[in-house]
Amino acid sequence: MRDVFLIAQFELFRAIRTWRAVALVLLYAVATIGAGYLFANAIGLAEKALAESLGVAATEVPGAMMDDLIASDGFMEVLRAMVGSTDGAERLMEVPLAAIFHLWLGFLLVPFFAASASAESIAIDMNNRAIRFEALRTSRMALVLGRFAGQLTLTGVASLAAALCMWGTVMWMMVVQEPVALAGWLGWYTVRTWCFAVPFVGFGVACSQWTTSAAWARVMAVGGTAGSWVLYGIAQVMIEEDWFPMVADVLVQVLPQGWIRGMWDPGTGWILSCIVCVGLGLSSLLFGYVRFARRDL
Amino acid sequence: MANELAKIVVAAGVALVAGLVVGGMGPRAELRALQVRMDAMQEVDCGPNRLPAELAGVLQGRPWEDGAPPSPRTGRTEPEREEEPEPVGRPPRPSSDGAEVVVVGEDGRERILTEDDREEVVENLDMAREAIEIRNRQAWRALDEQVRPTPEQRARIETAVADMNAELVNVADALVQTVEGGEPPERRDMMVFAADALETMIATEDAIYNSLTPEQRLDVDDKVLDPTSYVDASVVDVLQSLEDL
Repeated sequence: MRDVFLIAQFELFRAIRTWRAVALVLLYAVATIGAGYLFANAIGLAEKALAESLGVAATEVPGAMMDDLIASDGFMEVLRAMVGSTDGAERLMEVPLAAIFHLWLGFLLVPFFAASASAESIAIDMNNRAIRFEALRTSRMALVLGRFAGQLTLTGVASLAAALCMWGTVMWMMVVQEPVALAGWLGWYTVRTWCFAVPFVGFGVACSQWTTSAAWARVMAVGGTAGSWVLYGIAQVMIEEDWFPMVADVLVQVLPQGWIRGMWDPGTGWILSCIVCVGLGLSSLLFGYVRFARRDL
Repeated sequence: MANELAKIVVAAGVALVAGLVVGGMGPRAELRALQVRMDAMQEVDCGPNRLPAELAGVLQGRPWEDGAPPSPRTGRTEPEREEEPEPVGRPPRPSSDGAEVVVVGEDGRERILTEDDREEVVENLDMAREAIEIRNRQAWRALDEQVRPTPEQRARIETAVADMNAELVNVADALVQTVEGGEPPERRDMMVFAADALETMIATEDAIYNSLTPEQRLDVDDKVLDPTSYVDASVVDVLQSLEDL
């Protein structure tokens, strides 16, 4: 495994040297700050509406009425829609709302960013033929795993930066009752976001093994990620309408989105979902390796 | 060696996914079947079922206690003498123990306050209490944000608000005592209660306004000065005792 570690380290340093890491962190940061800004404004509007309905003066800085908003039935409906179950929503009542929003946003955004960033990890070196020199010194499987691990580290660092940006944005724009608790929850949820990103990083690296064009690999990765959401939606409809239930069952099991509900678990239930996501990520790698193993480098 | 180990790692991942898919099929099919059964059971209209009521009657121990005892020979209950029906159109009167309360309904007709009505009153009072608590909290937050009072100013406003709430509790107490007397408050009584409450609130608004500097008065939202926002839930607690009457 030393080879895998060295290749992962090289991948990370190369990303820093070529400013790709900085670009990725910036991308995560901008997206998170923008989403945090919209979140704070949405909370502010909801609070103003609540104050208006009660005939009392509204506060300019959002967050003052957060406890009252959380206690409302409307908020419960929103939480239920985000989590997917009443039971899960009730168990999240103690978690800061900004942290819940961050995890939800992570489930939507990180797959696309992760798949897109990792799609060029191998394709770019196959295009300029530089990979043959690496392949001389180690096995192709170790090479693929190393790049995969490097991209995972990169995604982890970017996710952590995103959590910091969310914390900063919320602290700057809102009245936060417990900043330390919020930071703790954001950090804790970053681990889950990162685990959910594993299958998509794997898929990106797999796409990168299929083509020598980094652009095409990125298109395949982003398209595939979007397609996974479409497939998940179709599987849900199939389950509800009882169409080919066995096919729907298989789809839900092999799609990472099928394990999101477990990721919301405030206890230890999310660990199983994370393990499955790691398994799905490794399986995705194999999908690309089938082609890469036979390639003339 | 590195290649072998790497292959094992990937193979483990694939095996995990394959195991999940194959192993999950059975439980998921079982879950689906149970879901179908549960949906079918939920769709069935149970209709009027006397069994629970009868079981509850048996569990009372001596269900005939309220009526006549069963006949020792036949086991049948002696038929009760039918009470004279109340004349149609006569409004219900409060019983001697005061358990029944006559209210005027939305249609203007008098009727006896039922248990459901009482529950509704309690629910409405709870909602009012919650709304007052939220208004109170929000009013203080808005005051702090817009005025940024000095500790002295805040202390003065807190004192004025505490005095107002104490006075409003007194007014509510007087109202409750009047109702407890058995007579509904007269028009003049109601006007006196309203006047007392308004006088207190006007004095509180003046106290809040006078506590602020001219600059603060310019910046502040008019709603922040509204004394009704600072009324606390203790007033509702006093009025809640009316529900027990």
